[in-house]
Amino acid sequence: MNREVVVTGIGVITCSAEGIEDFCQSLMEGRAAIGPVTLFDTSGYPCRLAGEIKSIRKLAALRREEMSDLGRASVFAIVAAQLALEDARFDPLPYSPSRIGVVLGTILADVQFIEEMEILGTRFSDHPMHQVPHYHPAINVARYHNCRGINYTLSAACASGNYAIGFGADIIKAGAADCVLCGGTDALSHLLFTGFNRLRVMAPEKCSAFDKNRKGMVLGEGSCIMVLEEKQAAFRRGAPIYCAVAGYGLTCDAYDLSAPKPDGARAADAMKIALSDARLKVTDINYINAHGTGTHANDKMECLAYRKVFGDLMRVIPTSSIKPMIGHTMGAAGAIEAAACAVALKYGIIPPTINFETEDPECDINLVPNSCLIRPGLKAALNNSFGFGGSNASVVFTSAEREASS
Amino acid sequence: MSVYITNLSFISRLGTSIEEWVENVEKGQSQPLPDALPLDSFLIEDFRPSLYLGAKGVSYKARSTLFSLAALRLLFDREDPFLPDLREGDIGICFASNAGSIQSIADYARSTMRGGFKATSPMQLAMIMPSITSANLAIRHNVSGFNTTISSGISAGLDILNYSSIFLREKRCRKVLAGGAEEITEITREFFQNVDCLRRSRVTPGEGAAILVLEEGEDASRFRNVFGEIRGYGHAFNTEPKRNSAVKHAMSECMQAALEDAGLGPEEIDCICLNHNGYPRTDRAEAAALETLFPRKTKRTRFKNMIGECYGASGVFQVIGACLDGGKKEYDRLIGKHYLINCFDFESNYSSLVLKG
Repeated sequence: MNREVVVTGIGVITCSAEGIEDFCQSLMEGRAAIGPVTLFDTSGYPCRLAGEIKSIRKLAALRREEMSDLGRASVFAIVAAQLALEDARFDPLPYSPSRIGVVLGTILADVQFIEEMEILGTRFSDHPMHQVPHYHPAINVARYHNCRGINYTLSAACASGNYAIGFGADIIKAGAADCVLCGGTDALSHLLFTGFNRLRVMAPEKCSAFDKNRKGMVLGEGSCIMVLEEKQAAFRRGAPIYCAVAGYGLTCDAYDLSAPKPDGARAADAMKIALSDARLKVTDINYINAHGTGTHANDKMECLAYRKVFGDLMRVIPTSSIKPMIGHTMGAAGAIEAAACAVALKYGIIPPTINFETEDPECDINLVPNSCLIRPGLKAALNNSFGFGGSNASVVFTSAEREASS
Repeated sequence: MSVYITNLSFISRLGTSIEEWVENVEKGQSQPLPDALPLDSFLIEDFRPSLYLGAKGVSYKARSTLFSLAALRLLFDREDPFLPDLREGDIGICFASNAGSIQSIADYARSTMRGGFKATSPMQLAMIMPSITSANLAIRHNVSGFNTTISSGISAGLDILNYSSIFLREKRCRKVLAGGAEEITEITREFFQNVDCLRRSRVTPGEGAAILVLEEGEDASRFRNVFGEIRGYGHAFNTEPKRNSAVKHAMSECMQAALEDAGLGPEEIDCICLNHNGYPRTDRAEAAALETLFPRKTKRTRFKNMIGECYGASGVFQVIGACLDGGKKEYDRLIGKHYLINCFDFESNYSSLVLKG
């Protein structure tokens, strides 16, 4: 069965944007919404900034009684799914609910309940089941939106979102679903905030990915859900098409639990596999959305990996990281950054890497600094995510025009 | 294209070797610990991780991670031509785990919330990731293909086999180490006493790790061992998990989907490995769904009364139970019995798998 998969709807919620139009606008403006954390006490911490979501406009239009006791990551995912379904014009539902799957990536999901247990002195047995294990955002999305197909939660640390998009496309190709809501969700957690501070990889003032004087990353939170459909079915129903999921590659460094393998060899392999899976050459890629956390080790490794794959082309291909704007959203990062690739392919908006000041000879890439580029007619974009445990995931997206002509 | 189980390994209450497992199943020995509290009946009390991993390999690791590392060590200790090519890069790891890192998260939360910023060890951060077990397996044995952890409740143990089968059929890898691991700890005991679901039930948690080696191939004869062939998979998501008729309906859909995927009718199934775990709603619904779908004469079996409810790992243990079914003594060929294996979560996720043993 030769089924191709396209993205027909995107729902995104970050600290700086809600909904795909707002997200496009925020990328064009280079809008950042990083500020002091208010969700928990950070006094005594060297780094106290994050990309925190302060309010959700869409909540007013949703059945809030069904979400009253859910965690933040679940709520973000339900909202993002609603936005994605509206964006894909899923009213009325074009598929049987049993043929609509949900595949989400996350790291700690609704872990705030465990944090609360320590604060309030409650026990696990005091909490309803749906608040605790980390597969509940996917379940809560499916229940709220009546999706009765495959329902998986994938964890591959910060690469989880890309893992989910790749597998979402695979199950449509395999004929196991007609439509998949896939992406990622994660909420700002006291645990991760403390842990990354203790690892000394957090930036005290701002995230400056690929900058010579970069000081580390800033955490964020949010969710992005993409509606994936089989291409011909999407065309038949006149669905809006952002781009196609052309191919992906997954590898593992098998090196260290928290540090990336310095030579970037397996990260490079993930990109090569993704290109091969998409049947594209390095010269076909017009935009790269980098993992770009702003830590010394990651950015250096990532650029080495790019050199291994693209060689001198890296001085030409526009590359950017949106993490300085929205923070590192953990399990949602790959999916939110995939949305940035989709926006680039559909509208020609290449987002900037804000906070960039000084070139780093170790990061010899064609970075898009501080202001967005407008480049209509892009054909293919590469989205990269690298996570703890050495998880590497690269996804190639191709433009809708290219798909329509094929 | 078929996917075959060409090797397996486990740390379980039924033993750590094929011989022990088969012997204990044939004797019908459930072996709950005699003096244990009900929630600890299936604790693997005599597990000594340093025997498999050495003293240095044990520190900072969760019990479920240690089970998994030990199970993989046992696999590697067998003489098998498969083992050297693990390092070739196109071998993936896919692991099922729902609660494997929850004790680590709770411990970490305790030190963070009570001790504050400086009391938190940076070493512990990686340990709270749900993917920590599969990452540890990859690092220890240099397995550098994909590395996925799936959480979906009790069905996760079968879901990883579907995920892995798709990867093998799509040629995304050549072999997969597919497994599951769970642990009995302070926090998982509380989890199984959860007010919403389990207070009035007789679910007894189990623990352990199980690993299967999966390979794709038209011709099973090229493998040294063939323990089983994955023939079909079905999944259903129930949006109304508290309504009995909806539970039964979704379970029926799930089993029918697996049969359809396998191209088999209900009468062609030789044995059903039940989900039956003591949770009243799903046990009743499973029995009712089977009643309407399958002939009464079809053999039914359950492993959970021997190893406990191993949650994310239970599907992998049930598959091992089918592969090592008492009717089969040699593992170099399939004897052609078809098993339907059910994994139905307390909540919404239901999966069934058809295995040719």
